[in-house]
Amino acid sequence: MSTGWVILGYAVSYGAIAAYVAWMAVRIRSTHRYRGGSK
Amino acid sequence: MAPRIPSEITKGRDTSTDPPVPTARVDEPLEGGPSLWRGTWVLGAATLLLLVISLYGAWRAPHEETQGEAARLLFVHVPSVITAYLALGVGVLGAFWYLIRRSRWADQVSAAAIEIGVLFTGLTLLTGMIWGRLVWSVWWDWNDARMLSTAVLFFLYLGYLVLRRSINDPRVRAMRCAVLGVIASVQVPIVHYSVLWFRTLHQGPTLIRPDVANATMDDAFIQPLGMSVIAFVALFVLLLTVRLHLARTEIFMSYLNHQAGPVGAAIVPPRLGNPA
Amino acid sequence: MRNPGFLKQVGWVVRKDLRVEWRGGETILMVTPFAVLALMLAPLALNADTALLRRIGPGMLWLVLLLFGMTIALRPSAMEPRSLRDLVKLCGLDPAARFLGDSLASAILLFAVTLVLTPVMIALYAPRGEPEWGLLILLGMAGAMALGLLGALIGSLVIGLRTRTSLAPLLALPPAVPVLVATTRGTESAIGQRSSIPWILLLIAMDLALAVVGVLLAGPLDDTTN
Repeated sequence: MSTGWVILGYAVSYGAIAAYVAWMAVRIRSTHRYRGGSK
Repeated sequence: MAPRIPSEITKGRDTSTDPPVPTARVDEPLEGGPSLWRGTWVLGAATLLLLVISLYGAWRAPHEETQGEAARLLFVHVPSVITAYLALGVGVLGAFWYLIRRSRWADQVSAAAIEIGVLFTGLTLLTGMIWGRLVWSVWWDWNDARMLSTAVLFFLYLGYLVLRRSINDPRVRAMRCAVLGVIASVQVPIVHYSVLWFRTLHQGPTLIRPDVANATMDDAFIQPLGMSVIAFVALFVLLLTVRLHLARTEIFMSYLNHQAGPVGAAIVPPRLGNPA
Repeated sequence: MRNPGFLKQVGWVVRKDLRVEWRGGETILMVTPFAVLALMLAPLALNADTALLRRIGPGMLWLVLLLFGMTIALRPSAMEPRSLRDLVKLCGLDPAARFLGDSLASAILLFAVTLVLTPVMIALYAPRGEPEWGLLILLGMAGAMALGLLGALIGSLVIGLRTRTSLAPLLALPPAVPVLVATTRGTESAIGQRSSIPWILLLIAMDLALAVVGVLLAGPLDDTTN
């Protein structure tokens, strides 16, 4: 039972970090179009 | 040197009567637009490796008697706390540096670090609450001074992020956010003591309960815990680097928007003597 | 006119703010009845019996003072329209003096509301015990000053923003948590014959810290405010 909560804790933590990284990547990628190519 | 406007925007338009490119300003972008530091990829790979190793260590850590499986949560909770305080510390230092030197770079570092710090503070609270639920059977313990302080810290710096979003002018935003960062940092020790005395002043000794400290002192725990802390610190550096790159890119983008004119890149405002 | 001293300028600002309040009446006429009503609503919400009410009296008093005090300290009249701000700036008023004056005026208004609300709380909640009134007044003044300083500081951060009315309380409440803890625990200690000195000292420390920060940063903040 408690293992489930532990796994949830890990999943939420690492998931949040991964989501943050993904958000940054998407924002950076979306600027490339207007800069005449990626740098 | 000002960046050139991409040709797709200026195609087919007579650019001879365009307004002159603004000269040096405090918020002018870096030459030719910012590029991601090549070392970021190496850092990312190293961080990923460290995280995998720490996860393996957490999985293989011995079973703890008093706390059971919940002790494994500490491998996320403790590194989160350390990273959160590290990040907020960098953010506060950046705020002070901005007030002393008015360096735009200090403002960017401060904002990025505090954003990451708020993320990890939130994770600390979350993992702490789950841990408390498993070990003490309560989601929230009003006698726990540490969690209370962390919760107030979370809202203090969340306010910083909200203020940051509310201001458009970069100079005003930098100054006001730096001031808020200083106010928040000055409040931290005061909050700490008020919350600490909240329960302990004039109070008898508290019950002996399974505590975070009990598990972390155990030898078999120190190694995977240390690994996790190192992994999270590397993660912080990585996140900060990428966030700073994003910030610089967005400054560059905002400058492009300014150059294109108040109504956007596709439309040129009318000019006397140029019937267009 | 001779060169006016710093304290004199602070005095001008305090008198100006209090005069505006006297003529506009936002605090006494509007916030105080609101706060009294809040004190009356709490027992209804909590379905409280006398024993519970006795214990939560001081806490409710300061909770209401904190929440409504924030609206006083962050009141719009303290952040005047741009034309008035420009005029004051051009007159050469020291921004630090303006900050301290605003804080002091807010603190005075807050303390006045405290004085009105305390007998109401005693009547409605009937807390038991013999409080040391001297310490309680000191606690109240230190707490009011802290809220006033905080309000003036946060107020200067949100000048000219569209989301000012909802943003300001969000920014001001987390730093005000120690004020709530110190005043409530201090009041309980004063009633229960325990020492409330540590709490008073904590509030004074907070007052000094906020005052120093505000005075030092008032100038730079003023320069970047448009």
